[in-house]
Amino acid sequence: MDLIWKGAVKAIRLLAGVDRELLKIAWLSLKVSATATIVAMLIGLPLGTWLALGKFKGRRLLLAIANTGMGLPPVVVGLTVAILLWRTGPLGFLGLLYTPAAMVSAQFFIAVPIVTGLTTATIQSLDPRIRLEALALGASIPQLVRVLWREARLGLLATVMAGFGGAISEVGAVLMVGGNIKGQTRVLTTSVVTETRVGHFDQAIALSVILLLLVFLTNVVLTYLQQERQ
Amino acid sequence: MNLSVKRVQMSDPVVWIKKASKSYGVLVALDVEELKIWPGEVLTLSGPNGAGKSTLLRLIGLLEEPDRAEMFRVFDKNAMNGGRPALRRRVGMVFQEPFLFKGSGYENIAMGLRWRGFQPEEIGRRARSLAELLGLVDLEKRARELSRGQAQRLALARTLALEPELLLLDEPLNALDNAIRNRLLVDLQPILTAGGRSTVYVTHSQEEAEQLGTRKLGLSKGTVVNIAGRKSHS
Amino acid sequence: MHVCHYVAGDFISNALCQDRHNGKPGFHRHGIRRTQTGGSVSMRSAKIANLSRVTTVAILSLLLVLAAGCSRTEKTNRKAPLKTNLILATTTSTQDTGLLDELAPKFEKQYPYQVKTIAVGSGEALAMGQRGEADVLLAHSPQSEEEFMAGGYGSSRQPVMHNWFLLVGPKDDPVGAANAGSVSESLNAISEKRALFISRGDESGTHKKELNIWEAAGIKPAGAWYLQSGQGMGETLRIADQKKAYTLVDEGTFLAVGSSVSLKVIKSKEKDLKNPYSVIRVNAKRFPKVNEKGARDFSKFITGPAGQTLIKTFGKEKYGKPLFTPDAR
Repeated sequence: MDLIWKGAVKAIRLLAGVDRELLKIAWLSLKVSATATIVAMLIGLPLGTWLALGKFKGRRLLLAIANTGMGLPPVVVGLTVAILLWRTGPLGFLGLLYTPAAMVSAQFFIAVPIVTGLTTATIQSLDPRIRLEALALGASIPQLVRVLWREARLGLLATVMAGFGGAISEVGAVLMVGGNIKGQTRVLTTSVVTETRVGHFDQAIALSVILLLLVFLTNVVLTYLQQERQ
Repeated sequence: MNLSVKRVQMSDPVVWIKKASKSYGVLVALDVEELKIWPGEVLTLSGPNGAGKSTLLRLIGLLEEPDRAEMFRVFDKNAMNGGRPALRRRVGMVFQEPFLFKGSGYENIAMGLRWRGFQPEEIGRRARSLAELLGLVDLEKRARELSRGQAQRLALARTLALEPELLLLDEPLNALDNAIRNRLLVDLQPILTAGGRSTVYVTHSQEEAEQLGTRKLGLSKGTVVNIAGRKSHS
Repeated sequence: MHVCHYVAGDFISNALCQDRHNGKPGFHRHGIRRTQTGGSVSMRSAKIANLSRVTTVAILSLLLVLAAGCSRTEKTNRKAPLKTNLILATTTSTQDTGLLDELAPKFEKQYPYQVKTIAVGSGEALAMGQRGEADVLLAHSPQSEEEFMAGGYGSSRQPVMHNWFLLVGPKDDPVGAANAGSVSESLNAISEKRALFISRGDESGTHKKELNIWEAAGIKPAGAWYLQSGQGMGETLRIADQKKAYTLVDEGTFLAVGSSVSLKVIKSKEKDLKNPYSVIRVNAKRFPKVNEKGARDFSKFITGPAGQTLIKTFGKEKYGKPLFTPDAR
């Protein structure tokens, strides 16, 4: 208990003193997860919408796969991406292992099923009259999608928040493909692991606080977007 | 600028349906032997609930496809081959329970027009004209906050603004009280056939049917029962 | 043939007509286009309101992605002063001492490499070498290293430094292990009295050493008192602390972590407890993708005067005494 208290105090001091190393780690965390989430959105939103609206054979199967992806153990993703990126692996020539790019990929594959699955659910739960009304007014497919997304804004932004949350809180996969290299691929989550391992609880707690703050601030922005002007 | 009404080619029917049917599961919603709609006519459609009126409208509005049909043509054969979105833009449909989009009344009206590439000036002009005609009080108010009567009129304005060649109106005035409705009917009547346009008007009201319809059609259990009116139009 | 529908009535007087050229629907304008003054204000303000929020976020996100892209300057940095990657696989306990955090940057100053220190369990580090996924290894698991070299996976193995393993246990030392003459006798006391012992259980250097000393004492440790953590040294120490158990720990980790646990040293600095570190170059002939030159340079550096001097003094300020004793000539 005493240790935790000491840790918390140190954490506040570190945060106030704006430790350079801490900031670097935090900034990298934000960049990697934001990139992964944005790319996941670029793919997941249209894909999820297509799955929701489309009528084609094998749609249910694809949907089941997307939903399974939501519960995909992140560490499995990490191992798979790592194996692909090994020197001896099929994508080894890219030389991406132990780089932020690899971490973005791993987080992307973790986030994209979440975004896709939740988007499908959100679109499917929209009032079916929206689609009919938009089509009746002469919407083309892209125009229809824009209307649906506008009407589904609440759910879709929640989807983004969920995707980002999943990405930034990932430890195992990021450790495997990033290597937790100091100054290069060390992010908040992996740092917490390292610092805890050597007993630097104060540092670990400070990192945890920053991580929470980061997630909170991002969600503040997204919630602001999500809620309507009253 | 020439505002006069030009005479239109009247030889072909705007809608031509032969032996078309539509079912939902085991329920046969619609089974039409033959139906032709001519340019410039107002076809009123009545019948009990579940008779298939809305289904027929959705089919004509190309929002759904019939399960089978010997002939199902809206406008002309070339148009049917040209793709549904393009066709739908020539048809204007007002649903019985219209869905209003997020945003103001103005934005709702503007939506379809923007999709067709209209400029803001023209959109504004049409919106204001229709607002005046239909008695829309506040276009800036959020559409979803409107009273039922205003909402219904907004939906009507939204579709009329598109100036479609074919109007499909599903009980468009049923939420209005009699005085307003009667006044609107008078104002609406010329629009229904303006420029050779045709209208299918679903209503439960005898008076509306009497006043507006050039031909009256009844639907019961999915089949057409012709009541009155000219069968052909010259 | 051009058929035009004009909608009657002044209120929708329009300059547009629906045009059907050969059946293709389309819109085009006839006559003069009327412009309105003041009428479009509401339209414009609505547009601005719609754009602002979404656009701001879109722009912000774009900036973020661009900034992230710039973080890939490590890739471009690699090309700018021609730095190549050097993957150094080592153990978590080695990494946790902090030695490499000082050593690697010094190395990078002298040589054009970017060192990627991957700290994993001993077993995994050697396994990485066996797959050619690492260029150079810093390990402290002599038996496994010998097998590694015998298998032809490494092109050279040189001693770098050593320190000691420590048998540590609860402050009150219930079985009197500290009084025993040697570590073997201590272990005897522990197993006879069935005192709790935490093993790494993860095929690491520490684990292998631990098994060795049990063997040397003629004991096969098994039973409810012998627990395996399957984790790194730091975590294992903490488990031992929580459970008031005995365990084997390397000096480096104990000095680094020890202040946060209440365990004391039972036995140390015996022949059986030596912890030697070696640097191994992964066989580039076998794995052509290995950074052979980098491995060679690193090996030379860490066994050379620069590296050895650093090792000699490392840890003095922090822990009062150096963590390692340099071994290379």
